[in-house]
Amino acid sequence: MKKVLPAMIFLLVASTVIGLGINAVKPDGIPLIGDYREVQYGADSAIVPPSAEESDPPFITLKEAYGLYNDPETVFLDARDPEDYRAGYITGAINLPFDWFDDYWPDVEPRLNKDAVIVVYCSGAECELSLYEGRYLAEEGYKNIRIFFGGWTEWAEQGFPTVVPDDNM
Amino acid sequence: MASIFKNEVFGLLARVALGILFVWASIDKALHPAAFAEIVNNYQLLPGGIINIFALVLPWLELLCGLALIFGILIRPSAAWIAVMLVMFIAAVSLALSKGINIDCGCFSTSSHARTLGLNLILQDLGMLFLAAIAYWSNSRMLSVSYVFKRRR
Repeated sequence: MKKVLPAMIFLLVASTVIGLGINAVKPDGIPLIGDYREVQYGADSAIVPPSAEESDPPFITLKEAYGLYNDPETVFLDARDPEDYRAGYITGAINLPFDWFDDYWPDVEPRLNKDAVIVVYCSGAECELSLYEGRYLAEEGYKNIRIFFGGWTEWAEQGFPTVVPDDNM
Repeated sequence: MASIFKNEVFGLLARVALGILFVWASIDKALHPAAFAEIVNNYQLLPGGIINIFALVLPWLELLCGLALIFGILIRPSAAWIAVMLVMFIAAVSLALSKGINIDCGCFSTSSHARTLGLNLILQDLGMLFLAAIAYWSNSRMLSVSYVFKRRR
């Protein structure tokens, strides 16, 4: 064992020198300290507003929302005003502003399926539009509504995929 | 049973087989550190600050230890490192499985969906751990570089 440990240290040092050395020389080398978001998906339990009722559709966590986001069958609905939506939304989300529901509904309805999983969100904890919209859609017969109450704030803070149209203009 | 660990021929076979496996496993990862770092990150076990360094060094440690075993240089230190790495892999895969994370293994390849995590992976690692134990205790210098040099003299 006496001779084993120093040689193990030698092997580790050699690997470090070679690995970091080659990376430093390679034109497409990676930074030594990568830019990784903290891999904790917000709280473990979903944010549920005080005004929620027993009969409301299920509330989901950021982690669950992200899991559904990766499923192409899921539709995300943004319940905020068009102005907020244009300032940035979850990639792929359709704007259905609750305050202008009837104006937008004819365009949105054909894109929804009553059996599909639909995630409704708005700006975050201080916004109840997602709750009202989710509740309303559930009453209309959409069977798999999920309310992501953490909403835009939680999603964007985590650095998950978003579209910010105003930036592109 | 004890004789397996002392037998020169078994020692040689274990040493070379393990060496080849580790060299093979290291190459794709050494060539594609960015992809490998992403896989390491997916395991959600290491803090973000050390992921890249880990991803840059680990494949080379695998490669050096694998080559050393094949050529019969620094057999015991290399077998010990490989055992340490295997224990680490078993722990990482077990933790990821217990968390229910469905990710690519990053074992032999960095391409996505090459292989996802499963119990068979842990069994495979345990098998290699057994080989590492044989290589360590037999310390077989049969057909090793030092053996060949000694015979020439």
